Amino acid sequence: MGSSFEEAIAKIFPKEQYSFDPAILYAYSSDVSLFEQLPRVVVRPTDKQQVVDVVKYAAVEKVPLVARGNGSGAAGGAVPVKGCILIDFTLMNKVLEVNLTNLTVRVQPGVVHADLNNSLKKNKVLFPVVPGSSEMATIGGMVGNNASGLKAVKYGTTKDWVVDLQVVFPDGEMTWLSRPVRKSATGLDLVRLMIGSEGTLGLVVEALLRVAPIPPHRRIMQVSFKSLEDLGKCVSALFQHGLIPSAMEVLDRSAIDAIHLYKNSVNLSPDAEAILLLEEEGDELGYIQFRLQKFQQVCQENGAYNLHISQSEKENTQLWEARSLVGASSSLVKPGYNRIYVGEDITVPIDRLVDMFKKLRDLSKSYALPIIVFGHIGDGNIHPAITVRKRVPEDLALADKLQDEIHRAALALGGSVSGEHGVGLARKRYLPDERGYAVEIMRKIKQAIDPDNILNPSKIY
Amino acid sequence: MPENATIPNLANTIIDTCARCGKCKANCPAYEEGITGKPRWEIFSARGRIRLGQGLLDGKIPLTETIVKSFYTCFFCNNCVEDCPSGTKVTELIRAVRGYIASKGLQPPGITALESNLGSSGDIFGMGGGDRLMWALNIEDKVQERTNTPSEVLYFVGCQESFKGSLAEIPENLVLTLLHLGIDFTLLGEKELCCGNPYLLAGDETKCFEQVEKNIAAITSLRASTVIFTCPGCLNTFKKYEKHVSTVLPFKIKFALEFLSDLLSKKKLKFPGGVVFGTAVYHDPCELGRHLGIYDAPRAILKAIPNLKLLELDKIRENAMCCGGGGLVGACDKNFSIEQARRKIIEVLGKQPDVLITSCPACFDTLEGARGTVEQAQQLKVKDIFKVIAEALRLSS
Repeated sequence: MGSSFEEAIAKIFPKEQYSFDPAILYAYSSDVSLFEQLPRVVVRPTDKQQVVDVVKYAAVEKVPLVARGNGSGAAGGAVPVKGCILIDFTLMNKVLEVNLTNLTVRVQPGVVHADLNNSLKKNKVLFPVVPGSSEMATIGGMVGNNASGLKAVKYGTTKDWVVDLQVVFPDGEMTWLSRPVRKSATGLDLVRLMIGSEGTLGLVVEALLRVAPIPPHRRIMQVSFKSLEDLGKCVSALFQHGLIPSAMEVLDRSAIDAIHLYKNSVNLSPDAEAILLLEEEGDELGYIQFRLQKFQQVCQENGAYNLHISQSEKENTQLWEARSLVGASSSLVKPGYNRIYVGEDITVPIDRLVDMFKKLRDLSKSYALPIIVFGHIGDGNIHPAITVRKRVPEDLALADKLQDEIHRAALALGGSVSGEHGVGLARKRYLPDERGYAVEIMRKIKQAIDPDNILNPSKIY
Repeated sequence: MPENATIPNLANTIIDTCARCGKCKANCPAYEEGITGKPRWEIFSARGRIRLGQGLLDGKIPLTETIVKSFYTCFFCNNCVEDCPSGTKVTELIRAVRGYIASKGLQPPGITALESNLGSSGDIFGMGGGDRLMWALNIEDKVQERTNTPSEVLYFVGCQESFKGSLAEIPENLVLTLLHLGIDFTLLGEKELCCGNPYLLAGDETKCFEQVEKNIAAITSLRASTVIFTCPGCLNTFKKYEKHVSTVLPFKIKFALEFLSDLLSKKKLKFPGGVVFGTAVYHDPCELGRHLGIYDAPRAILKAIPNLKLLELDKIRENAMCCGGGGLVGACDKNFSIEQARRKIIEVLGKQPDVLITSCPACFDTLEGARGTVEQAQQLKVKDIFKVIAEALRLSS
């Protein structure tokens, strides 16, 4: 390819929209995970036609293409592959159309989640799937990874809020996959197929999303427990009573400490071994309080103490913001030990949470490595945060073994190795154990759509 | 050994703490391009710079002009440090890499010129001590008798206000205010040297602290118990020195607004009224706010001024948007700095104020410079807070 490669890129993109500069390539060589690889070039399309053109070029020359949003993924899904064209979608970041009758919003893939919701606020609606990385994650990345987050217990995951996608396929053809309607029963659900495919089947260039009204009121109840196991039992009891809140989060002692070290003004229990955060939202404050009383009763019957209900929206915001950043602030817990993103996104059935918590406690002891535990317990999604001395090879080797045990424990309990961060490179090795023959089907689908394997090769399958 | 010998000690303390979560990108003013707000290349974000620092440290990338550009477009607004959930001290890394850049002879020409002036004349403009009082032309007699006289309070003017004619009103108005209040104060006059802040921002802590020590010796000779500043950068440098040597200086250091705010609470500073200011927006300078934590004193004073209605921007205090005037960026790439200032002006116009008030000479200079380039801002007045105070006291017009 040589200089003709550079000429081809220059024909598609103005010079300010691509770079071969080694420093820029290096800056785009990683995401949040430990994987890294230099791309051959980084391109930044501003419109769909540029995406079509670069895909058509790549299809002819059989050059790999990797899509990237803001690089906040934790599994290496957007880490370049050798010799690839890395497509940075952050310049395609417009909110194109809000339809308050259909309750939809049409967006470009590079729009950041928090920016989208800020722009929707004036219409009193929101895209209710809220990742912890809301200020970083792009909608394209959320679609690619089927992201979710704090509100999944009520609103589900990204897949539940995507109406339609416009996609450029590996042959350069661009098409919408469905219709802009609330339901359609015409053939295979290709929208769902694309969600969670991590840019391996097609490149999303526009998305039609559902939005929901912003509930005018919400309250967060903080409930303390003497152990994670007690908390896990209480969660089971809440579900058995049919009590499902709008958010349900767990923080163990070290996660609480991490939050306090980041923002000491956040009001969390100073002595609990674990806390449960239960959010209720709705139109009437009185009804929220009525619901929280029901939660309170079940919690108290199941080992909870020191129940506190938030009193203001400021307190709510501060609490959720601190919670959403606890992953990164885990590095503050033990000086010299910094967070690495491995084994960080398991999901288990609700009735196996207690077993998983016990396992994590035992593993932390036997490996003598801190594991900070937090997560979206309402959907069984736990984020164990491992911290190591990043420049000590023995620590990294140990962490690799530890994450393997965490993943295998989740699988043994009937769980999944990823609740919302995706497979990428990090969890590819577990897929056969988790999905069995279904992985073969996935590979056949990939082969049918992308026979030359140019889209994000080596990921997932 | 990779060519990064000056920064290996940063590995564990700074680079490795970064979890690469990208939170710092959300509010990095250098990452978003001026009024358009378009995201720039990753290397212009805090996370991008940490990544480049890691690449240099690990010997994976060579030091190039692109990297120099990346590290010299950081405004040192400290938003990234304020926001970072894993406690990464991004600005310390940037200073260290800037020092490394200098050691390799790749410093931008604007910085080299600035340091050369500092070395030869003791100030950033290369003017020399003899011209230190050129700001006081309008009040020469009042200033001369106050210079180099042992006093309780010493006012440290700073290079920008001393030599840049458009900023001369700042020290002039503070001096008029101090005289009005009957404060026993003095000035170093031609003995004042640059505080050393530019050295600090260029990664040369040693030379910076040498400057501070020379100034401390001069201040001590005048037996002042309190030193006040109108430049947040100068005050920040003295504070950094104090922390560096882990000892308390032989005098208190305060921003002049804190000093005046104390007088306000003691009812020694009173505004008579009669001057109409209309609606005003206060811009929190990064170095005064996020670096020094001074948010309340300016607001207390502005709220005490009759006929001045203080409006707050949506992003204030710890979350305030940078004006683009910091970090020596303007000395390397003026347009990069102005683009951010224009963005700030647009943010301010959203509140439709009569006047934009700030309390930092670099912010004032940058915002006033950018105002003329924004068509909708022609009616907006930009004022330094010491000018507003003097006007409210009817000492200036």
